[in-house]
Amino acid sequence: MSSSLKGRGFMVAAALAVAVGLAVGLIVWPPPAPRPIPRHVDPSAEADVLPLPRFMLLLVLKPLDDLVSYNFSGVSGELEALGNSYAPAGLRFLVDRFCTLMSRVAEDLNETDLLLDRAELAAALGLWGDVEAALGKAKVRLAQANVTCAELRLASKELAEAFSLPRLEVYARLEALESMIREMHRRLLGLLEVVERRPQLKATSITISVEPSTTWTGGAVSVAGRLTSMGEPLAGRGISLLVDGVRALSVPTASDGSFTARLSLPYLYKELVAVQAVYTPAESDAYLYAPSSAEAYVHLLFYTSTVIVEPVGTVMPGKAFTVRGCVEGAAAHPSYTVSISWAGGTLSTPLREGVFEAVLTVPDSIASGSYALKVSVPASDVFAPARGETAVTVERLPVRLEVNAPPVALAGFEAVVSGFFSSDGLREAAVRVSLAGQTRLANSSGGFAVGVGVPLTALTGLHACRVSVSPRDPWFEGASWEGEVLVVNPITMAAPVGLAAAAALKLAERRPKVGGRPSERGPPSGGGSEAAVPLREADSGALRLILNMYWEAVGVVEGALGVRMAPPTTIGEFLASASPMLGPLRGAFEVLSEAAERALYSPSLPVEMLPSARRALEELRGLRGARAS
Amino acid sequence: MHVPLRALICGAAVALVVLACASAVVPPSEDFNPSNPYWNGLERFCRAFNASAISSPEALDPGSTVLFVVGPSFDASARAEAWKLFVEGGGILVLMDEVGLVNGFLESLGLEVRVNGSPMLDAAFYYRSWRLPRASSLGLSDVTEGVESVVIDVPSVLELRGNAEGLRVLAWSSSFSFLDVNRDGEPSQGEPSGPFPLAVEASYGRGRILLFSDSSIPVNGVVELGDNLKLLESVASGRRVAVDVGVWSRPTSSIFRELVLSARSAASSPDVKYSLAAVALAASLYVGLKAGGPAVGAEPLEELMRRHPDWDRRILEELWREMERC
Repeated sequence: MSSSLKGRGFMVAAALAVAVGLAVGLIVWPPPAPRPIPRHVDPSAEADVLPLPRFMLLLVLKPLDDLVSYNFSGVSGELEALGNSYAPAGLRFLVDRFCTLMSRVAEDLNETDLLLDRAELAAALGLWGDVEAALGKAKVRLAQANVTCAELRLASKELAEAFSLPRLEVYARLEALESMIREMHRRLLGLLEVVERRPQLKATSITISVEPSTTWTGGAVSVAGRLTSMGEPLAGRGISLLVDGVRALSVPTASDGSFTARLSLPYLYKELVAVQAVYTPAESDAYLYAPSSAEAYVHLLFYTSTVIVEPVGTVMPGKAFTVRGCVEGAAAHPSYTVSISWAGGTLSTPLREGVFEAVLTVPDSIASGSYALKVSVPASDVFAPARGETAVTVERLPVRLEVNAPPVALAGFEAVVSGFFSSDGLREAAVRVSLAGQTRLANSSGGFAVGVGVPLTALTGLHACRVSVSPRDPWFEGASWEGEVLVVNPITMAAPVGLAAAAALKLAERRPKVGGRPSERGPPSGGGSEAAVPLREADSGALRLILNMYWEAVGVVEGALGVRMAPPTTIGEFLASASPMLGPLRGAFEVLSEAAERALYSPSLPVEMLPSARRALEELRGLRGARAS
Repeated sequence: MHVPLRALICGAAVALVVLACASAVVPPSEDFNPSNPYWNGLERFCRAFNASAISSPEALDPGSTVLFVVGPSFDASARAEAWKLFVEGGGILVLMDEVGLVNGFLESLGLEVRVNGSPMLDAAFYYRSWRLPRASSLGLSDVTEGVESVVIDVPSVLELRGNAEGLRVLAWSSSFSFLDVNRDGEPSQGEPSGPFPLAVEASYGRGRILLFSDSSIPVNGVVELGDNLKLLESVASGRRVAVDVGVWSRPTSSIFRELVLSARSAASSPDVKYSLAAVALAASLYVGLKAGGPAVGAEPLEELMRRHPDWDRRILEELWREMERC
């Protein structure tokens, strides 16, 4: 017993050892190949690294350099770059603070600079009210910049310490910034001084007239006018003449203050253009006279044209189409070309006698939809530019697709998906059929029958079947179809059917046994050729008869031999005790005993047993007669 | 020591069952695995874009699909033809590689661009460490619309060759970036410095190719940094997203896990499900019938029945019970 337990324990231990060994082995084998260069690293596991100090220094110095060189617009871009540079969360506020202060200083100084410029210009024009207003604002902004600069020095010191930047270089730039503020302050004081000793300016007046008042664009007009101050002519002063806001020329005034000029007009295609005479006191006049201006209008003549583009309608990818049109107007437009823009491209095409025609090709890959086609003709002397447009619709021809997919397919066999596609003029297309993870390609000019091998790995069930048709010619639209095919896998289906059948057979075999009396349990021990009687219930009378005969025989034996059959004595025990004394009748009693045992315990009984038992009883009854005699 | 065969078989069976259960429960951890939920997997990307893992690009419908080839671990020349057909048919092919294993494919297409292969670091514009550069200089394209910065993870750079005709650069590194040729992690003398092109776009056939010099943009740990997710959304452009899983050499554990999961998946199919049900039914019937036999003294009774098959089993059982009671 103990050795058996030991053996079982050893088995369990060995099995566990094998299991653990195999599991560990399979997990760690094969070991991952060492990779010298990591393809990537875990971002969350990376330690915070400061930017390289020399790179960070560049990022910090760049906005300062821009600022001290009055490149105010560049400062914001450089500060954005500095803000985008990496700073660990604990140091981010230092960068942000530096950027904020720098931005504020730059804004204040930029505004101060603009205000001082404005004040200088206003002073030159004698607009002293404007000068005072600008200087008042500039004073405030410069003071703000100065205060912010002091804060910036502190922030720069902290930033330099945190990012290990060379402080001397940062401080040198801050010194330059402070010098810049001082310079602006000096400029401000200078302007304030000018304001304090400003003279009383005399008003000026200017008149202007243009002849002719209507002319062709690009032509010339005569301009005349007069400059006076308090009724007195101003001689030798420069008068600027502007056409449509653009300075054209400058003329001096004569001794009577008058000025004349022949003014060539540019090619403008506006009906009304302003010609302006402006007097701006210069040098010493700036302290004596106020500026003045006047304007007159010229009506311009020019030819207008209309570009008419014939409707194109619908076009198809890969195909060419012709765009035609004309340029119409009161006079023939002298341009030799027109420009056509469409689908992201532009080309020039000749314009002959006001008519143009061009052949365009629709790109293969252009998406279907509506596009604007624009035609323009450039300006030429007195001819104004013109443009026209039309809508071009890109369409593809639809393809009709019909598919016949088998409703059921067997795994391991080929399923043929057939069908046809058609469209006007469609020559060839690629057909792609996908079923149960398999894809087959075929070229066809209409009808197709594509065999797709359904793999044995495909399990029973509904599988998607997709068919797509891609025409070779780009002017056809692709078509697709999707459906479902029931795939039956005979291998996997055989398993449950077989098992169910086996279970059913087994059940059928076992059912009679549940009753406990199968008739075909095999021949009884009595002999191989003996037929068996039916079940006990079927012949209970015969069985009772046998038992009665046995009890009668027991009575005979007890009476003749004096052997008692006690209640616990079994049939076999009684036979054993009586047999030695029965002599030649021993065989008869054995027959009766066996018949009784069978009647009691066996489910079956040989047919011959009943007559045998009767004969045996007859013989034993002889024993009673012999005893009596 | 002699280990009995029975113990070996039992141990192997137990190991197999334990490993199967463990590999079904424990998620994979290898690079780019679509089921890997750790930092180096593609689980978040696949979930966000409902991406399907495919191993044969031939089955894809090019007109409605964008195919991602992320970090191939071997020269996938065998798939070049399939990729080419996919792009020619109107598909969008996204190649993400920092090693240079897609160079052969690029050459076969005649594209004037290559992946350099050396790591690029940035010492000023990055996320946490120089190995995670942040690209903020993005070209004008529908792909980069609304994208302000892209965080990349140990990337390389792209080499534009010739006049790089037909290529549009989508992203540049900063001027503080450098190619770490000697791999010392520092900018050294003679090492090229930025800006470098990091992503290009090229039209090919009816489709287009997007090439990135970093494969980590879609991995779990990086996909949500910067505007990476937005960039990938733009790349997907509403198409169906597929990831080519046939470009990675996989460890045994991954293959085993896939087998287990396939088996589990297969077990849920009707035929296998019914097979298992039938087996279970048969087994329970068998056990039930066995259990329905003699409850007591089975062995002596069976022995007796063998010797006397014609005896009444029921009466014997009754007698046995009587004897037991006495």
